[in-house]
Amino acid sequence: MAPKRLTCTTNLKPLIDNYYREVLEAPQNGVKTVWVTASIPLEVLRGMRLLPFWPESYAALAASRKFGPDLIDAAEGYGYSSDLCAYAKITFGSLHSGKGPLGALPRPDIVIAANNQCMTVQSWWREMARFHDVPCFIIDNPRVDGDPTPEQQTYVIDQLKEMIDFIELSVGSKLDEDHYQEVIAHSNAFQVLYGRILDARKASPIPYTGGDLFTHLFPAVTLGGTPEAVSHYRLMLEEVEERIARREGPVPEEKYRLLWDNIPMWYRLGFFDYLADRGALFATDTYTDAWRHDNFLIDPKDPFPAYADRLLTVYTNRGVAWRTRRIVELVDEYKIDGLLIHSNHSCKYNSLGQVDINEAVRERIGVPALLFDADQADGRFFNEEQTRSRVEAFLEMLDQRKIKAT
Amino acid sequence: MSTTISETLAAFRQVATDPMASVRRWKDEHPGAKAIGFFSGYIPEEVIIAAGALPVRMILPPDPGPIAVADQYAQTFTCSYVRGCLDQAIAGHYDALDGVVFPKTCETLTFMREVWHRHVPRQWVGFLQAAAVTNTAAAHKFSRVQLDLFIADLEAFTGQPVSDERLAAAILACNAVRGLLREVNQSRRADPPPLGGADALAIALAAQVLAKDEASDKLRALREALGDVAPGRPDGRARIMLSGSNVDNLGLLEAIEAQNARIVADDLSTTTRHYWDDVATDLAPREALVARYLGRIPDSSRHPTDRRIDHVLALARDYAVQGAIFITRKYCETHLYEYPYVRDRLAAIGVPTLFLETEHHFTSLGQIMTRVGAFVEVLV
Repeated sequence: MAPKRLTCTTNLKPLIDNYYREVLEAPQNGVKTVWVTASIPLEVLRGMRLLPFWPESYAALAASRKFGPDLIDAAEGYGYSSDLCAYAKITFGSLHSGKGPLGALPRPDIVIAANNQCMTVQSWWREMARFHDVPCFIIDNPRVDGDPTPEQQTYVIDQLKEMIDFIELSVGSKLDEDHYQEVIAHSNAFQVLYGRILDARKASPIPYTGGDLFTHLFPAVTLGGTPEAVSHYRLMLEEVEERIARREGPVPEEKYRLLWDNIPMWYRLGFFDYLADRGALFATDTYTDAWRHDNFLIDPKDPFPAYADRLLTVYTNRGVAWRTRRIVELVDEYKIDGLLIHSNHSCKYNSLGQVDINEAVRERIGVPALLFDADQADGRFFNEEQTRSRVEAFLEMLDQRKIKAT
Repeated sequence: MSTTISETLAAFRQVATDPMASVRRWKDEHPGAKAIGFFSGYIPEEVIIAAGALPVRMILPPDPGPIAVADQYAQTFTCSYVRGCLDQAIAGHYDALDGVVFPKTCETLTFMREVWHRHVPRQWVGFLQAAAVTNTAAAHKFSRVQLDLFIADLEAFTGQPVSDERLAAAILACNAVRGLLREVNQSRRADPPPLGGADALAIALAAQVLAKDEASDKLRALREALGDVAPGRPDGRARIMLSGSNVDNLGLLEAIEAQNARIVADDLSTTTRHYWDDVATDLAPREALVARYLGRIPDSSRHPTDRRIDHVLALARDYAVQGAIFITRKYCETHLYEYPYVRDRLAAIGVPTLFLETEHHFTSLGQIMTRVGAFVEVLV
């Protein structure tokens, strides 16, 4: 039986359609476009009246709409290795073939990446810049073991200022201060709402599925700083809080509260419905947290420390020891029964260290984990039948643990 | 080939194929001194030398066999070289090393620092995370901070303060070796070249294992002997260049050259990219090291990489290259991303490229030889 979707899900399609229409029409509308990675402060970009476009988000969309295999074939046909990130392969395939869910993508004016989420983006953005023959700026992020050091923060802030100079020089855009302040206000407002939506999963039953949250990530990734993101998450939070008040979840019975680690398989979000159908819901995950910054809202008078913190403290920029501690905290905070760990062929930064993390978590708090192989956007690396068998055995084991505990 | 050349090459090959024996010998000659492994040319050997230790390039044994245990700790889609080294370290192969230093140059190396620390606990683990971006003021400032932190960490481990004087001396010693490597490498412009590709690789690798004075002595002897070699007659074997990541296996290059080819040039992190640029001696030593770190021919892990592309094209032209083999370890994503662009730029100057990807142990050598043979047939 399909889980009960949030009704505000219907609000997403017009948001997505409008956004991508803006992207496709940008050249004829005289709007400058910048291709960016997820952590680039889009408040600055919107404040400079640029339209940001996220190749990763586009690749996830392409994968979910089943364009992945053809675009990956096109990329591999051009000479890109099958072992590269599937998001990158999908984008390269789209560039070289002119095909994809949006058709041919318009040429950007500049491209900017931050390597906090992975170092792959450095190479990927460089090659996209070469393809389009446009300037490329990279924000380099040192690895953070504990808290960011003052030198690390200074380095990132220095680069953010260099980025603004780069944009001014490359495309002539300047910060429109009044508009920038509005963008920052919207961004902070959406962050507060988003944080409450994620926290709502502490309730039992969890009010929505993991698949729902991944679907509703779109505004957080692409529309932060706009009034549309604020209204969407306000709508979503209202509905979520109503469900909590009614003690209503997306499925009749919540049997297992799980933690999800890594990016989801975008071509197979139905896998989360399969899990939900078995009463397995995700109370928390290590992925959607990347867009959560309600613990460090932007100071409109001095925004750079918040931007630097967001870049430096993202999950993927942390080492094994920190991630272990964080997962132990999440298990306690969200009352987790087990961990479902996606060993993602496309993403080393999310996946490396998972074995050590699982062992360390089990040693410390005894919570079991299931690690399975797949890929975020290349379905060739996901054997769903085999994974389902392992999941069934894992859920049975969780049942046994609950019986023993009582 | 003269006796001096063949003896010197044999000595270099011995070091390149069994570096740990060379390290043990050095440690016997320097009781109490430490040997420290490094995975990348972005770890400045000068600093390790100034700290009283021997810098040793992490080289896999010629026939490491399949991974025994490392796949339990690092997924199989991670760099096969680093995973192979971890496997060998757990088995005790690198026990002669007192520590290893990881750079923040690629995802696998960045992560493997913690994995190594957990699973090879007897070795000290250092980390130098200088900037990945090489052309900004912020990168320069940050890289200097990181170098200072790394040096302080290393000083604490070896117990030897790293003075500017010691650094300056180490810089001169390393520059001397680099200069000799460049001079020896020049001999490969000849047709036929007096050195084979595997020999050239052995020389470059051995120079990253031996103490610099010993490396310099051997390189000088080789340079003098090469100067006496009379030019040979071209034999029609294809002139090939290699471009890619960190090749360290002599057998692989011999297998390539057995296909009617001569490897006359290489753009690898273990060879020319490692020794092409000197450290300036007209700057304060730490500043000079930062300047070299940021200004040297970049690996694909840095940004921008235009100077690397220029280097590839210059080698192709200067060494009269007929074809290029792009060669990388499996899952070396920084180089894999750049491959199509390198291929296209070489094609634009009339140099076709063959793509080869290898695991850390070469189970598919027969396949490699077949593909190289077919490639070479088209060239000659």
